[in-house]
Amino acid sequence: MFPAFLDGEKGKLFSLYLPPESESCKGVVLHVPAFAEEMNKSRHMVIRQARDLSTMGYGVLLFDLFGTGDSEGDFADARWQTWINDTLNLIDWLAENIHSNVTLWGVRLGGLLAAVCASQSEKVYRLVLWQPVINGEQFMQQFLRLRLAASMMGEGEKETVKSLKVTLVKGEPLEVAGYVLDAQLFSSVVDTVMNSLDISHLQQVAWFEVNSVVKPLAVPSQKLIASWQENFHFSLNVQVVEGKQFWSNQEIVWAEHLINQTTLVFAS
Amino acid sequence: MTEVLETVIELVSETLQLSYQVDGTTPLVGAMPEFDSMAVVMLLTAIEDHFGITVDDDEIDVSIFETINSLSDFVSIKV
Repeated sequence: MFPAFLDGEKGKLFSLYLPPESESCKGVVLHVPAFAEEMNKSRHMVIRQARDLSTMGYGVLLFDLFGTGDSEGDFADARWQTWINDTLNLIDWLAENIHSNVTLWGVRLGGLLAAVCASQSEKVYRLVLWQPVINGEQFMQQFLRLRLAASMMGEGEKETVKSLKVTLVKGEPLEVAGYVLDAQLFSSVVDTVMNSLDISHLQQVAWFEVNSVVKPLAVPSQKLIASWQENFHFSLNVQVVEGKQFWSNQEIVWAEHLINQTTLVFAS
Repeated sequence: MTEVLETVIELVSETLQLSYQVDGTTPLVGAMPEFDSMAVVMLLTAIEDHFGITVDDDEIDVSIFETINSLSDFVSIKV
């Protein structure tokens, strides 16, 4: 494994490169991380998956988005557009220097970010999504709930999501669960939905959802996938795998089937 | 025990990763160390997903989370 600080648009980005453990490189995989606490809760799954892919002969690049993890910048400085630009630059660099077959692999909000980047880069061949966020507004609503829940249990004045949104719309940052959420980051995510993206040039999309019992896909996901099937020609692999929802669980938990099934996508 | 209560008990145990048995009278907020703001959000999301209901943010009140029974009563009205 090779740790390195790469140049990003607004500062250095911490990265970890796992080279292919085979003579020939089958392709390169760029991981796009989840948001805030979900990123921390996903780290162990991500590194395990990355190791599997590297064993199979893929080069895998993990990095921390600007303002998160070990990259430069504070969370309050993070902007959606910076994240997009940094990811696009890494795609270009990997395609030129490692392998032209580029896979983007995104977790939760990182899935939405990966899809946005895929729609803006012809170099992306395959998209792999783990429990992707498909509606930025709904995701932000759930994130704000964290603060609401904290205020509910505290002594202070009871807040509402509406009152929190008013603060953000005024352009003021808001602290949620220890993260200072910038108003621009908030509004950019709110304005992003997966079903408006043109990803027609992709060759393959693999979509995974994780549930404690295997059941049909969530209804919004079903609708989106139906529209992709109608409009796009890439091969589509959609699965609900049994496992714990590691990104939100209070403890660090594993979803083994998710890793196994993801690895199979790369074996084909 | 009603079906809703049974499911709520399951969801609470699963979401909070409890290693002990709970029942309807088990107090939640302020009594259970695992029950923090993250737990509230996770539990609400699990309940919404499982029952196919939507909890309006204005409805989120500490009284709902006093005990498992009070949470189950809240869910029963919505399903």
